[in-house]
Amino acid sequence: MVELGKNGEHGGSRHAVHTSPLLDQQPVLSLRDLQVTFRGTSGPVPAVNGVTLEAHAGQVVAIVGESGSGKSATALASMGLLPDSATVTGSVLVEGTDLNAIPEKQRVPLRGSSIAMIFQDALAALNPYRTVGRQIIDAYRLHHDVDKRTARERAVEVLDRVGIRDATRRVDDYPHEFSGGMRQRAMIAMAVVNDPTILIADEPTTALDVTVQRQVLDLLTGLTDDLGMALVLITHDLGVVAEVADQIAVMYAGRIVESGSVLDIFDHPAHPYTQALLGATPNLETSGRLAAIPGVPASGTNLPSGCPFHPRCAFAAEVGEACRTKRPVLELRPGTPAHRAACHFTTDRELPDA
Amino acid sequence: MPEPLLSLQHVSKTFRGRATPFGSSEAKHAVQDVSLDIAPGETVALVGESGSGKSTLSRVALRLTDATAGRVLFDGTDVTQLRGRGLRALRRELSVVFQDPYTSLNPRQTVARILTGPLRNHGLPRDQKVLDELITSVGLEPEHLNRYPHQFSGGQRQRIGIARALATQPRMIIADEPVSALDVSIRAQILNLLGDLRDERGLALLVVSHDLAVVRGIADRVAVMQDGRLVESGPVEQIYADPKDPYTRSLLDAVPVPDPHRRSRPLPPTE
Amino acid sequence: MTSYIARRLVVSLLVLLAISFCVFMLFYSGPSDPARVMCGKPCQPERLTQVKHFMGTDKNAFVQWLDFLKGLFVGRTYGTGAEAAHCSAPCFGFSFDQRQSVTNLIWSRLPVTASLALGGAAVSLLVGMTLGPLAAIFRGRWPDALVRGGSLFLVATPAYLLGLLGILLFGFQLNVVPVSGYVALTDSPVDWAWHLVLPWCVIGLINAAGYARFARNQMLDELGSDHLLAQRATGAPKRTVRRAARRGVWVPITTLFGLDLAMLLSGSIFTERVFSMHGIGDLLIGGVSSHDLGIVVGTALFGAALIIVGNLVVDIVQGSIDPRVRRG
Repeated sequence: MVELGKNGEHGGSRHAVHTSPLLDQQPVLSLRDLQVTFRGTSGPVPAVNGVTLEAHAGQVVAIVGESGSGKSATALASMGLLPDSATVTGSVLVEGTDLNAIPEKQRVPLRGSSIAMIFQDALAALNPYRTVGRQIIDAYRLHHDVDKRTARERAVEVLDRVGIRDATRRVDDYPHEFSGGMRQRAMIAMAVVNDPTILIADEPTTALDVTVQRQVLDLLTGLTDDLGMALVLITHDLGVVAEVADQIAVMYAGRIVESGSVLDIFDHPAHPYTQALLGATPNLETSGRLAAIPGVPASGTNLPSGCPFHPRCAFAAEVGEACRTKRPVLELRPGTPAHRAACHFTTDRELPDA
Repeated sequence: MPEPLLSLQHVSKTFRGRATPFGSSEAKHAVQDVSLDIAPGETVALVGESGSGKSTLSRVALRLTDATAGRVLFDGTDVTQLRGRGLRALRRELSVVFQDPYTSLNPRQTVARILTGPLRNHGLPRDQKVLDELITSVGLEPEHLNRYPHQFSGGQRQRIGIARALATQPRMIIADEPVSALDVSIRAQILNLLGDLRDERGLALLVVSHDLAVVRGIADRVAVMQDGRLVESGPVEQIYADPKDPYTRSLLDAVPVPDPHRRSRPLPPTE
Repeated sequence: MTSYIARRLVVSLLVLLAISFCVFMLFYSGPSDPARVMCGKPCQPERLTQVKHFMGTDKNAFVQWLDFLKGLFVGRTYGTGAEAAHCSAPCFGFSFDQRQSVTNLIWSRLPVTASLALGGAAVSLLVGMTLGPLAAIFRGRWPDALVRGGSLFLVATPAYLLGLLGILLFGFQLNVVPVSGYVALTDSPVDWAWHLVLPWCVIGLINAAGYARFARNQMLDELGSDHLLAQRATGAPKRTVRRAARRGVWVPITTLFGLDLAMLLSGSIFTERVFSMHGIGDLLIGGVSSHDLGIVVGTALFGAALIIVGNLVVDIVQGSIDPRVRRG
């Protein structure tokens, strides 16, 4: 077991480090009490509020959330890529180095080589004026002192690894000459060309067709296993999460409201939001009405008091005032090694079946 | 089978190539010889991946674009060549809900004004009572009428879009990817709302979607398109349980299942 | 590519034909009769008929237009005998006032206008593309405020006012630059540049204001784009990313620049007047005030042709910068 992180005033940080019992080596990525606040026109807007999580090599950690949950801000904060209008506190430990404590100059060489990122819209994320190969070559040469020919060979090799057929020829194509799925692969190639330890994937398959999504997910998990990376997968799609995630953190209104292994979350959801999300997810087997979650997602600009989920929660009435006034703390579920939930209702009981 | 309300007969749509400084692009056969009937009160899901022609086909049905070949019949009338008054009559009976609730509502108009637009176009009464009924029918409040679109969340905006589609009391609504731009927790709300409105008003629905899971709960029939052609159509139970076409099967197989016990990737070790 | 340019050239010719027709009809149906001006005062009716015949304005407007077109391709001769005036192809018309073909007039004025235009455009591009992206990088801070305020001021300032202020300050008060006139490049390159410094700055600054604002907004879009974020995610330092962003700004700027340059080459009326430079703008104004319709029609068409060619060049250059345009 790893020592707890600093015990901040923010609820989520009490159980700072979620350890996975069978992975006793150090996590490659560890966020501790991460807070992100944006400067808004009418005062500061909190986006992430005390997020603590970690990812080990070879592990797929999914951060699940909707718009306003702070999942994308968490991703960008992990890369140190938030705009100047954001204030970040807490620590982002990348292989032991706190990215948030060092100046930008020292962060630059870590990006791409230690921690890399891919985005939702590959067409937008690739430079339209440069060939795919050139972009991968440039990325490689930022971290490797090699000549262009060697870098080009590496680019072809990595394009081939991500499943671009005829990579020797396609390396000189421009992004717009690639199909949607191939662009996604090219972007992944650009991110993994330097063998990063951590890959952050922000909604990597949301814009894709299902058949392509399946291929890209297989590619990402394959790379995770082969390269021994930690994959931090940011998504709103519980189907995708069930297919690939090892560990899951469910975020709501800037906080982790439940975290645990994929089986903890799907078999024994302990937060009403998680359970409601599972019920509201369309699937191929249920016909008829879905169990909708009433209301709208909370966010930094629209943050209810107490438990941020209480206006939409089916159990808030039963608990009573605590939900409206007191923010629940992320607590370890009794009898589990690492399943945590932040809910007044389930502190001493199970959720009834939905 | 009852007389279809909307009947697409051998519809094709080809987009011409475009000249550029460096040669011209090829013509694109977006829809090729597609026939599809929708009965009054029936819900049909039109499913396909990007580039399958599903959106183009829905635009042809709405007469937002003209078919290159084939006919579109609404309630037995050939609407393929309608102009002027005839086209207006069609627009009153057949309305549309768009994908993106952020761009499909005029940001400079209040909700009341957005809703009176179609009423005005068709010379229908547009007093306060009508507007109140419209806005409450989609689960919003009358006081929302004086607000502007940016004051609403995505889901609420889509409700406004649906209210606008309902304004002229149409017999059919075509919804183009109505929930794909919305948060997961909101999708079910909007799908349920569409289903309820259909049941209350006997509406026919054509739901265009790339997601087979999304339309599972709402559709009576499913039509699957690939590369501009209709590859399979049939009752919802049959399509999901026993798809005939290999493409349909591959689509179904690719949909992620929200159940970790059925995944192919090994589960993480437990103690 | 070749076939595309050929097609565009054919279309351009047709457009020019249409423009020439409109310009011709517009000016020749106006109230002023060039023959009467030419005839002088007093003007006997017989003399007027003679003049009209000489100028070719006794025919109907459509036939005159056809004559004009013919002149463009094969040249034409006005009158006969000793009085005859020849205008060789391409004949953009004839100034009876100055007894010269408009083509010659434009040709003789072109060095002045071209010197003004090229220098002014270069200044505007240099200043705009330096300050615009700079303002974007310092968004919301004082350099940004300065650039935005300055450009707003310059956009609102008429060229002649800025020119006169420049003359007053640098010419008369400080006495550092000549205030008027033009010296040919071939006569003395130093004097040429020295005389042009002030007008270049006037044209350059006023146009730079637009470039700076446009470049600032484009740069902001680029800096906020996913592909630059992705580039930073691979470990590229800020300097490299900004260089890539600037490249993204050049693409739309080219369009603006091509059209502006064409516009400037067709004559800067105010600047030429203020600095007493006899360029094409000055020629046009002179033609208007002396009712010399040959000059007016000729320079108008010359301007239109420049804009059309400018457009074509812009499209081709755009394609070579932006790979997405290349293959439909």
